[in-house]
Amino acid sequence: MEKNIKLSVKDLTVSFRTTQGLVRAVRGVSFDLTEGETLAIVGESGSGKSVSSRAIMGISAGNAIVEDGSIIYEDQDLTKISEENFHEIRGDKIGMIFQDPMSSLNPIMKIGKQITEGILINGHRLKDRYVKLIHQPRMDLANAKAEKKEAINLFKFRKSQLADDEKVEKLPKLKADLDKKIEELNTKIKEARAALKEEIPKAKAIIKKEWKDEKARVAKEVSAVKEKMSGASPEMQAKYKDEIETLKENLRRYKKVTRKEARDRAIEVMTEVGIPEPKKRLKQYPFQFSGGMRQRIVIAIALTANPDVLICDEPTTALDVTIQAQILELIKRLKEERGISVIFITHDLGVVANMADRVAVMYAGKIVEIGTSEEIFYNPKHPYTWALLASMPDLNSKDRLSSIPGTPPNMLFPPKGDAFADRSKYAMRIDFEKEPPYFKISDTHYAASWLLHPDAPEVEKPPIIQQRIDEFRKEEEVTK
Amino acid sequence: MGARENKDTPVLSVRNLKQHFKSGFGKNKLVVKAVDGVSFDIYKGEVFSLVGESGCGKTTTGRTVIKLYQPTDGEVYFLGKRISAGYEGLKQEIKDIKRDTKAKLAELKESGASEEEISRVQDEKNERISEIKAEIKLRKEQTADEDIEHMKNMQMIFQDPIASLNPRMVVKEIIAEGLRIANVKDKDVINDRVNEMLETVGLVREHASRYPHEFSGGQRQRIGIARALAVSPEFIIADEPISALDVSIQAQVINLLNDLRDEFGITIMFIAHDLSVVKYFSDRIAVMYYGKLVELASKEELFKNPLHPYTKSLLSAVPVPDPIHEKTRQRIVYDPSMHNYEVNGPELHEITPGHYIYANEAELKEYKKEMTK
Repeated sequence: MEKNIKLSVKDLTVSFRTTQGLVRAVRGVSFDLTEGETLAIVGESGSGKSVSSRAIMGISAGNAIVEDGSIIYEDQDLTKISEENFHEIRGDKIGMIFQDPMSSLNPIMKIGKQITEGILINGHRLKDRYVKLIHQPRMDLANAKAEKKEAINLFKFRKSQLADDEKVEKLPKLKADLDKKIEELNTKIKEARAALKEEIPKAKAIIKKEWKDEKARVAKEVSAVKEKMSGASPEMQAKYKDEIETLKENLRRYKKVTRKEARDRAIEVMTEVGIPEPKKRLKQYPFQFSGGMRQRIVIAIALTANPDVLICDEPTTALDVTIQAQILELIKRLKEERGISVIFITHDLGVVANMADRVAVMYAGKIVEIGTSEEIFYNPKHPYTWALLASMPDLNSKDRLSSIPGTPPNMLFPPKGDAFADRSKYAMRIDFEKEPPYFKISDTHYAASWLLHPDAPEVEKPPIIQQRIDEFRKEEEVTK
Repeated sequence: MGARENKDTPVLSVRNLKQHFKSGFGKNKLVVKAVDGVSFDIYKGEVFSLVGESGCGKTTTGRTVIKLYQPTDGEVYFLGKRISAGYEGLKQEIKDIKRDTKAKLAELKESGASEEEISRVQDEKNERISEIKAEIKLRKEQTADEDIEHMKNMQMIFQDPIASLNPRMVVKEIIAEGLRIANVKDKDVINDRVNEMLETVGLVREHASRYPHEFSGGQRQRIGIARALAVSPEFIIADEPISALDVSIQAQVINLLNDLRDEFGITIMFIAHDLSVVKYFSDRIAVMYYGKLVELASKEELFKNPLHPYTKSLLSAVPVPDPIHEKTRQRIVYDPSMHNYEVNGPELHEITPGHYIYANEAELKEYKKEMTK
């Protein structure tokens, strides 16, 4: 039953510095992503779903600060590691597909170039091997530096959060803490730098020798072929020439990814995502593709690096139903074939029902309910989940839609208590005063609502949701 | 809900509407047939929906109907008056007549026909051509000057509530713009009307002096609706009014449109691609595919007996909020090359009363067989 946890997000808190103050976009989000599962994050715009996923990718906006929490991937905390370290993860191990395929592709660059770009840039094999040799000391240094920067930033942030009267009392302690930390880190940086200095010449020598050996080996083979070539028949000569060409190409590939290799790989992934005539399509520009095809290309680009986690940020919102269904099928197929884990962000509950193994419902920067897809759709517990489900017309709705009154809260001033209380007809007094903790419904199902407290009055989910479930079951009976 | 009150007098009649966009010259000349021969009627008090994938011409149809484009061919009648008509087809007809008579004359001369015969043919031609030219002139005249009094009965709600509101105008100016164009000058009248409209769409008077950027998406769409309602139209074209909105806000706007329909008896042409919403909201549904209307029926009929393979594929692709249902759903794939229209061209046929389908004779037989099953 226990599956491998690929990615673990704990208490993630992200805020944006703006001229009006801090916008608290994500306020303590925790979830685990296990191997090969699809976790859907649902919520309206501004609920923090995109911000969380961008924090995982390390592409948050410039004014974003990760105040608290951790994102653990392969024993590394993605909120703490350095940019250099992140290069090896972003795109390579965690891929991302964006919402609007028109604006995520470069309009004046041919598709082929856009797909191969990443492969070529990351394709210096010798350099990679060299970097790998000095990886440990290099990362130690970079991480220590990043940690120092982070500590200073956090200090500045905490300082800005202090009220004037608190400053006298609390500032000296904060400052002392910071100084102590910096001192520690400085020695760490010094040590790391020395270690790196020692490693570099060693690694360089190893790589040089490797390259020399390889070159010599190929030269020997080439000359052997050439020897055979003299005096051979014209057909054989042509064959030998090809052989030499392959040898030389292989040598080039030993050094770095060649254009031809990248092109072959591009054609391979394009075929995989179902683009017909990939050879011809490589030479075309994005505007020559339809919306669905463009989204396939965006997916192809994400796949070139073989990621094992794929974040899909509303990949089908800009597409219409038939194309949406195709793209969803494609993502599902790729997920099964490659065994990747998917974080799927959307606001369309129909899409969620189609894609998700587990669902996290977000509101005002928090996960208000999380559970398996069946639990969320058939046994929802949080009033916001109810409201979302009830406000969506399906093919059978006839009565007036139950809309959610009001608008989401302004995250400059996050509400006290349950953020949804203002718009919820089930809100109790405590909802406005105290934040609800997570109540456990089953091993996989949690919801943050005071309604689940043993002292709370019994409230059933709106009848319209149960009606819909019953209708679908009835339909199934009929079709059976 | 929204029964057809008066079946005999359509509010809007569209006849063989064509909208072709031309670009490039010579070798690069390209004609995009965005709308290619669409006909339908919309009756008083109903919600008529146009659905189809992006690029199928549904928005172009709406924009041509409200005269944002000059149609290439075909006619639009609104409240009994022709408001818009294209004449490219008529021009083509003149060319055809000229060519045909030329050939006929040559033939006659060859066979040694009498002078009388020849002049008769020529007269016939001239008469036909002058008839058509008169029609073209009439169409030009009728559609050139804008009858504001008449046209203010047709209003539009746009898709993007951010782009469709002038950021430099306050809400009051935005809502009152239509009234000013319709020559309402009395400030008190305008103020009263603006306030009334704000209340109708669920905003408050204080909002009148604010700018669009101060509102949320749903509120902005309400402003757009208030602007359309200010001149008391009989007919509203709603071009994807909710697709740019959040789920929780979508329901608010649909409920609002529903209330307006019940309260003022407004006829609505609803353009959308979300079939769940379309089914909930409309009375009759027309499915478009690449410039053609492929199927038109009441919503009950269309969802119960979809006939055209494209309609079936569209219906099978709608995601519903039910995991078990979703995991067993079988999607039907539509392949337009399945139709063989080489010999027998397709037309819009009425297969059962009120249910129209785009098919040729052979297909029609198949569909009929399918219906009786």
